[in-house]
Order: sequence, then C-alpha cells, then structure tokens
Amino acid sequence: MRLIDQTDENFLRTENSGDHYKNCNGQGPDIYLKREDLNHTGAHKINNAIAQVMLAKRIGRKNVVAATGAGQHGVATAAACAKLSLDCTIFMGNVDMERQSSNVLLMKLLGAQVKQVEGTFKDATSDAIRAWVEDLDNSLLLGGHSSRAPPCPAMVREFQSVIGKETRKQALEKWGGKPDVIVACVGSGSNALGIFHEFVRDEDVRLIGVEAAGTGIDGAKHSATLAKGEVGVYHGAMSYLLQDDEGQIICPHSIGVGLEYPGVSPELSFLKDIRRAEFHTVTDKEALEAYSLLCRIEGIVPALEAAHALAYLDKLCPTLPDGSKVVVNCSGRGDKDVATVFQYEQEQPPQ
Amino acid sequence: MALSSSSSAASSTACRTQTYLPLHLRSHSLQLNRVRPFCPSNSRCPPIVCTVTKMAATAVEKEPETAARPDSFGRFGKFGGKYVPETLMYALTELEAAFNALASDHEFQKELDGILRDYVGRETPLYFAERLTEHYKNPDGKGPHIYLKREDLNHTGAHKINNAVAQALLAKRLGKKRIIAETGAGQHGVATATVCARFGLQCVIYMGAQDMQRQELNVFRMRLLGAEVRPVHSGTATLKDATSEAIRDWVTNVESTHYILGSVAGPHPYPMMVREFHAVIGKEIRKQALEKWGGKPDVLVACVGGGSNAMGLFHEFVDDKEVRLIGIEAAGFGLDSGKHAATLTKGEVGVLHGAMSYLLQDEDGQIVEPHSISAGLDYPGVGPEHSFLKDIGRAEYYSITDEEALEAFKRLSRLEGIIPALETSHALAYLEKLCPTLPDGTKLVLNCSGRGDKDVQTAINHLKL
Repeated sequence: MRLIDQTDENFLRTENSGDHYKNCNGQGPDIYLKREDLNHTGAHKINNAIAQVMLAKRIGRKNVVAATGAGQHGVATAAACAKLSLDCTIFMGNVDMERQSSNVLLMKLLGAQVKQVEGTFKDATSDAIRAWVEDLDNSLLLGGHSSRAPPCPAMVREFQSVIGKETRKQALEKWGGKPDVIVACVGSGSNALGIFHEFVRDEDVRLIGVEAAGTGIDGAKHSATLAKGEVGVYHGAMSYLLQDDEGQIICPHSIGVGLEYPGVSPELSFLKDIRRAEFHTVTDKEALEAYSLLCRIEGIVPALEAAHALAYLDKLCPTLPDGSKVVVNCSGRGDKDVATVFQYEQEQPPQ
Repeated sequence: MALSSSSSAASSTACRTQTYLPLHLRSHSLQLNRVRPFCPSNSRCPPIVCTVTKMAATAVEKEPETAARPDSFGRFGKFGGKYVPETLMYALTELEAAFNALASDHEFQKELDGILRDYVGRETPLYFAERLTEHYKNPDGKGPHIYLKREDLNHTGAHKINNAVAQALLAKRLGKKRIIAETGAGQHGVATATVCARFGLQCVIYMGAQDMQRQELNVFRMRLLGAEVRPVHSGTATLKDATSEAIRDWVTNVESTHYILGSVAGPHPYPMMVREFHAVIGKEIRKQALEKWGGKPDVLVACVGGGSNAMGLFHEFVDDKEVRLIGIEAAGFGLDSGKHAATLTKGEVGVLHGAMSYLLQDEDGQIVEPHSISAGLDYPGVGPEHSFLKDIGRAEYYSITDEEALEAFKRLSRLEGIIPALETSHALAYLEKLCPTLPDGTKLVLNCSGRGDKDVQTAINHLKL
C-alpha cells in the first residue's frame, strides 16, 4: 500500500560528505543518508502517525490526542487526522511552542487544536495522557515515540521499521551487501529503532545511537538519558531516565528540541545493556556545526536532531576502515530550525 | 524562409525576414540597407536583402500543430526567439549544442536519473485525493476523480529542483565553475544554492532588495547553503529587476558562468531546456495513470507564473488531443484592479528578458508591476510556449484571485492534510469552477507544485486563524 508519505524512501550516497571524511591517503568510509527528511511533513514521524490514525479509525475512535516536542509528531498527527477526518488535539509545551513556532502554525492550518502546557515535551506528554484517560471511549492517545506502556513501544517500532526494511533492500541494490555501521540520533528512540530493528539480529552490523549532550555531558543541561540516566519508571514504562537522587525527573536540554526528553525507549535501554547497540553523545555546538556542514557540502538542510547523528561522524569516520558502508538516518529536514540557527549565529561574536 | 540569426556564410537566396516588434515600435517600419557578407575576392557573392515589416499585433499565425516546438530558431509560432546582446549569442549557441549532445549521452542521463531518484526523491507519487474528490461530488454523488502530482515532496519542497539539478550538471559538463540565478521570494534561489552546494559550484543569487527584506530567512538559507546573495536596488527592487541584473552579470562573465534560469521564459534554448528538464513530471504521470486506471488523464491543471511546472505537466500530453490542458494565473486583487499577474489574460505581445511572449505592459511598452499574494506567480511575463499554446487554442488559461487561493490553501490543508504552496493553491482554487462542469468519473490531475510551509505566516495573517 502506498501511503501519502511516499514509501520506498530514498537513499543517497553523499559523495561530498564521503570526500570530507577521507584521510590524507584518500581513504575513508562511504557515507549514505536515509532520506526520511523527504517524507510528507518532513520527518520519519509520519510513518507511525498515519498508521496509528488508521488504527484509531478502524477501532471507531473519533478523536486523537498527542503530545509533541519539536512539533514534527504534532504536524504528522494533524496531517494524518485531516486526511482521515478525525478530530485532533495536540499538547505542546509553551517553551517548545516558542522555539518551533512554525510547526505550531502548521498544526493549526491542518485543523488541529493546539493546547499549550507549562513546560516542555515531558509536561505535554503527561497532560496528553491525562486528557486521554478522561475520554477513553472516544479518543486514542497517539504515541509518537517508542517509550510508554505496551503496546506503544512495539507498535511504534513496527510502524517505523519500514525504514530499516527499505535500507536492507536498497543496500543490496547499491552495493550487494548490508550496511557496516548504522547511525541515528536518539531522543525517545523512534527513528533509531526504525532503522536498527531490521538489523538487530545481524551481529556484523554496528548500531550507533547518538544522544544530546546539550551544553556539555558533565553539566546539568543535556538529554543524554542512556549515557547519564538511571533505571526507573516513567510514562508507563521501565527504562533509563534522567532523575535526581529522590527520583524526581531532571529537566533535560538540547538545541534539538525533538531530543529533549528525559526518558528513552525501553528497547534501546535493553540493547544498551546487552551491548548490541552503542550510545554516544554530541553537544549543541557540534550539532550546529554539522547542520551547517551538511548544508554547505550536500545542499541538504538536516533537522537539528539528525544533525547530532551527523556530528558523530567526526569522531567515527577516522576509526573506520576504507570503504566501510555507513548509513546515517537523516530523520528530518531542518527548515523548522533555520530561525534557531539564525539566532545562534547572530549571538556569536564577530570573527 | 528566414535567415539564421548568426549566419555568416554567403547565401545565394534572397529572403525576407519578418520581425515581430514590441508594442512601442509598431508605428515605425524599418528598412535595412543591402548587406554584403565578407567574401574572398575571387568569388562572386550575391547580396543579402533584409527588410523589416510591420505585422498586426493581433494576427495569429496558425502553426501546424505537428510543427517542432520550438523550431530551429527557438520559436513557438511567433513567440520565443533570442532577443539578447551579441555577447550572449555564443553562450546560448554553446548551451543549445551541449543540451542536444547530452540528450543522447547515456552517462549523463544515468547520472541525472540517479540524482533525481536519490537526491531529489523522484518518482513523486500520483496521489488520489479522496476527501477532495468527495468534497466536489454533487448531491447525486457524481464528480471527477482528483489526483495530485506530489511535486511538493521533492527535496527543497517544489518542482524547481528538477531543472536546477539538471542545469547544474550541464554547467559542470561545460566546465563552468560559477553559477548565477535570480530569485523573487527565494524558492528558486534556494534550489539553485542547494544544487551548487551539492556539485561544489560557486553560486551568486541576485535578489531584489525589497524581496530580501521580506524574505530574510530565505536569504539566510541561501547563505547557509554557501551562496552569495547580491541585493538589486534598481527599478522596483523586485524579481524582474533581479532578472535583468543577472542577465547583465552573465553578459560580463559569460565564459566562466552559467545562468540557471528558473522558468520556461528567457531566450532560446532556455524555454525548451527548462521544459525538457521538468518533462519528467508528465512522463511519470503517463506511467502512473496507466498503472492506476489503465488510461490517460482527462484534464491537467497547473498554476502558471513563468510557466515551468505547467509545461512540465503539459508537455507529455500536448499531442494527446483528448487531454485538456488548463493553466491558472494570478488575478491578485482582481483582473480589473490593475493589481494582478494574469499575463495571458490581460497581457499583450512583446519582448521581455530575451523572448517574445505575452507580457504585462502599458501603452508605452513599459512593464507593469504585477501583483500576487504568491511570490512565484508574481511575474509580468510568461513562457513563450504558453503564449503559443494559448493562441492555437491547445491550452486554456484562467485566473484566480488572492482570496480564492487562500481559501483553497486552507481547504486542502483541512481535507487532505497537505499544505500546498500559495502558487499551487491557485490551481486548486480553480477546481471550484471546474469540477461542477466535468462528467462523473473524469480523471483530473493537478500539479501540486510545491509545499506551503513557506506561506504559513502569510496565510495565517490573512485567514486570521
């Protein structure tokens, strides 16, 4: 079935990026981008949103409720609800509404009701769950990320796993093999699981998740749940989460608003513990540099979230043998972040 | 028989050259003296005689519909041509030769196909708009089936990139290291800067100073992508002035520089070349229509500014007489307000930016400043091939106001969860008038030429949501 978001998503070999990371002998990995940024609404979020809204309609729900951080899940949900004529209510933190104001406008245009919540994504999520509980007969909570109570984690992963399935098929077509390394940014983990899941049993494929180190991993302002968190229960699931000594949630930070979540998918927590996947972190500054780099050398404007995965290439590529096939999930486009990057550059001292 | 405009060889045939004059020269008839070509002294060279004669502006030459489009002089009937300074003639000839050579170059085609697939994101879907179709059903439940060609899903969000990547590849083949372009709101500028980043070419974008102020974020985008954005202060400091400045730059730097023209306007070979690069839209539709319903579209609808997305849609089907071709221009505040961009409806024939076509001009032949809420349709000219298709009655052209376009913008967002560009919204708005006239089950394909994220603020301000 061909969805409005366009399946058979494209897969780009980035010649210029590959050249950028070559060493002085001209050796280095071949870098491929999985172009989830080309999806309708500009990110991988729609893969899950359209499927869950179809499910909601199938089970007779009239209203869909969701929470959104950067707004991508909100926009995707609003678009899917418009298409399938369901009512749509999106909860969004006031801090996020200011940072991603263009997405707020998109949601309203698509006919969604946007409810402002004091705080950020984690607070919007709590309010969305409360709203759902108040009207279980008519509404469905549309989980955009792969944490929360079952069946959410497995369901979201399954709907996003089309990314990995396509990657396998395209890799076979392009170079007759599998990827050697797969890299994805990790907020709650939906895009990462979407691309990892297909290859979890392929032990020769290295899986790397990149979280947000914010202003620095040793400071208080980051969102590196798997790097710095401890196990606890949050939003219905046991997983790693950023909590203080008393078990209270620590407010996360990242310039990539979609990565700003104190929890993470329970499945990614499991993959970390059994060492099937590795998790690293990248700072705001490194992500911003990667954003500008991809613009300049490939003419692709990545989302700041995806820019975290791209930034990790700086550390990763020098360690890889010549000709390694690296696939980076370009999980979203960065038009929504242009204003943020613009402001950041204005605030820099003149050079 | 007409002389080649760059002929230098002696010809033994005397001829009459007919030139179609801009409005303000029509009261004069020009006579040229006999021209003697250079001949070696030991040969006999007959004289070549040229006279310029006045032609009635409204006279329409009915070209046979099987004639080449364009002919070898770059003309579509009387439209098109190469009205440029002598310094540009060689560059245009070189460009045309390169384009013709590459048409049969398998390596180039393979490279371009790979980029269109993996970088641009083609093939774009032909999407059955179920709720929009339902919306236009009459009380008996009858109405056309509406399909959207999703050019909004392309990388950079519009059809513009189809042409930009192909021209950048062509420029590289020609050994050019520098690209220039003009832009109005910034969409073509962003597309050009994008492909220059991709192919490692130096990029200079000319933009009206007024437009730069209105589109600060787009200017920043182009700079992020590595382009230099040069403000143009002359005239009204908008698109037409930026185009003129870009042409001046090209005249000065023609050896090192390729000019990526963003539409099917300009001197030959641009209208033909840009059309060919966008023709992939129509080709995909033919294939997809066959897969989906085993036939061809009955009606094709597209918005028309310069005309590139419409030509990309129409071209494949021009010779299929049973396929109706409809182009929608911008009526701005209304056709009678004087504030619109409805060139084919209200314009007259003249020469602008190197080509003969319809254009919005006053009685002195000065360009009339157009208006549309959508920057991409805000152009006083139109591609010469559209002028031709209008005159021979092959395509129909109508217009839609700003207000109607805004309503259509909101309608598609709410019914299908797709936010169209304001340009595309003009085509969508015409469905209100068109659908009630169509038989049940008519297959209508509308080119969704771009996404509307860039227009959200404008729309919200006007719609007061």
